[in-house]
Amino acid sequence: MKTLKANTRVIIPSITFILGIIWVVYGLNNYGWWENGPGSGFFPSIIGILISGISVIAFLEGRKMEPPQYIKASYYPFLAAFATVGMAMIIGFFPAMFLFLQGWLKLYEKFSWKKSLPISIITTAILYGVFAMWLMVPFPAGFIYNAIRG
Amino acid sequence: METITLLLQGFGTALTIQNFLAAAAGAFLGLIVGAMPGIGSLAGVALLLPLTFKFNPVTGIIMLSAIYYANMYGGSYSSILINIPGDGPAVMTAIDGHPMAKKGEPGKALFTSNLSSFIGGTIGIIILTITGPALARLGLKFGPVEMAALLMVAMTSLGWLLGDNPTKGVVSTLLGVMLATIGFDIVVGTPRYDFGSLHLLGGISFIPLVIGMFGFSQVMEMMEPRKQGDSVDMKLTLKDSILNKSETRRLLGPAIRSSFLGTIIGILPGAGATTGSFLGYITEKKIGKNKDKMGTGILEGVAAAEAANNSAAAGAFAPLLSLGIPGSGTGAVLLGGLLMYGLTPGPRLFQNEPEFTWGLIASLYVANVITLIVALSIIPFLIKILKVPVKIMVPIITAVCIMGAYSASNSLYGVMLMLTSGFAGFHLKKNNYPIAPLLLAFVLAPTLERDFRRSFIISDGSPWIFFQRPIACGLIIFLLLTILSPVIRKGIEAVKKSRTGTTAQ
Repeated sequence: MKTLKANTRVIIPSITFILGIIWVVYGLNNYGWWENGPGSGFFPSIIGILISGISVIAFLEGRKMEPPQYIKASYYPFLAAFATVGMAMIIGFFPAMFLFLQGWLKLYEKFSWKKSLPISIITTAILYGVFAMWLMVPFPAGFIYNAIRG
Repeated sequence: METITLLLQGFGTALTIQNFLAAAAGAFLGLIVGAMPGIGSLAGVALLLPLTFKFNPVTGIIMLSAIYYANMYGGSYSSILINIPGDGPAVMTAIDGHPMAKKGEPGKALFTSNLSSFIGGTIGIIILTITGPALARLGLKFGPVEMAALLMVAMTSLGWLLGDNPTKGVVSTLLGVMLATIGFDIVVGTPRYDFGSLHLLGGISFIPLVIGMFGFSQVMEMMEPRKQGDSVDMKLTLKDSILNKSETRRLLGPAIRSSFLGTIIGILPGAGATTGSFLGYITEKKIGKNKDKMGTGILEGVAAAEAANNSAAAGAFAPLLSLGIPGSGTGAVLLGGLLMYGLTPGPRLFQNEPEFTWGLIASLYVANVITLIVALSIIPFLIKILKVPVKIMVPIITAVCIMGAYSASNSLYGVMLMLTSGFAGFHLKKNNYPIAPLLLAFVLAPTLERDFRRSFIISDGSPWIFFQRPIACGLIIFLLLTILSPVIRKGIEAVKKSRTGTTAQ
């Protein structure tokens, strides 16, 4: 199994520390602490100070702990979802969704056509029925369809 | 008397054909999703949230509540049959439920779980009917100072209780508050932390955030090698599942005891169904008639855990509706749903929206009965539901997440936000940061900020106002004790150790 190495036990508190500092700096400089009452930056700055402080403790605790193990496969749905969204802009949402389902089941899970096709077709049909027909969400039809329609 | 009249009027709302069907559909979907191992009630409610868009607010929330409620029933099925809890509250059910299944009584364990859930839910809803309006009346006496203190307590206690490390609970909570400050300042309406992005100017959208944090992060987790569930090659029939008279009598005591305990836990801000089921089980282990046999596969264990978690889920509606404070992450999703529909839970909800409030409470009674009927009738098909492999669930849930996030925002920004939240949620969970407090804080932060700033306006900038009012002072002292409790505990342990060391020498 392919694994990834990253000590997220210290990376996460580092990110929250930086975010806290950004919140304080922006809060005090851009939004204001007090003008005849608490300004827009008053509350977020307090939260920024608190999270930066607690992130230092979390960072120190994280340094003593074993980092968690990540496997590459965990990121496949993330990458596949991004690719599907990109594809949706070109060929439309539902064809992209069908290709994603079929591609995943066939290429990653190594299902046979006989097993994967019915799952992909039925799932896409249910999604179309619920989201496009029932909830009437206007999904993008894609560049190709729009170009053909002019 | 007034409560009964209002409740009867509520039944008038709940029993309209549309609302009844919405509750029935919610119960069915909630049970199926809850039964699938690895999804859990929070992800289940988050994934099904977009389905309620079609309805008016009353029907939408009734359906959402039924989904939440039925999820609690469904979570126990995989605990009992394959020893993998469907969600946190079902962990305690596995202790006796799975050994019962192994002893050849899977049907009876499921029947016990369903019946106890029904008893727990019914008692919880009855107590909600009584305490909800009373809590709302109490809430009406709260000014911004008291509300700000109460909200801080609600956020902090949850952050403290969850996860292996209080520090991480606090980081999660504060991160949720920070995310909520993005967009327009709710007090003066000026833009904040949008960093020039039009999307951020509108704030972080709730639904894509929830779907990503709980639904998509779950998909990423599912890709990891999982604990293999025990084999489910058993036959289930309704006939073999029905309890006889003596078994029903054995079930009643623990179920009723746990129901009262669970409801109280559910009402407390920051506790919830997981804590409820844990305490219900532990109490039965201490005082139950068959306490020595607990853990060996007896129905009292299943009854205690299941009645407690369902009653806690029902009890959690009391602070949610009357004070606007959810008791759990799932409650936060419901609160987000209410806000999305333009309803502001809090002391005035009972006064301003009686039709909605009592309709919702009445619909919980209806949903409880429907869920029991559906739950009992699907017992023979449960094995098939549990056999749906993760290999198929991963692409299907991913597709639902993408569609749900898009439909919530009608733009790709929603999908991008969902994916980013999912990515962040996955890493937070891997590092033992509890994400339910993040969501709870995100939902509560705007109210907290408004009341916090109003308190400072009243006091002209002095924080001492929180100590000058008795209710607020009591809450702040409780808050400080909660924050300091890990330090105090460590101190006591150190003193004990040093004393033991001295005695040994």
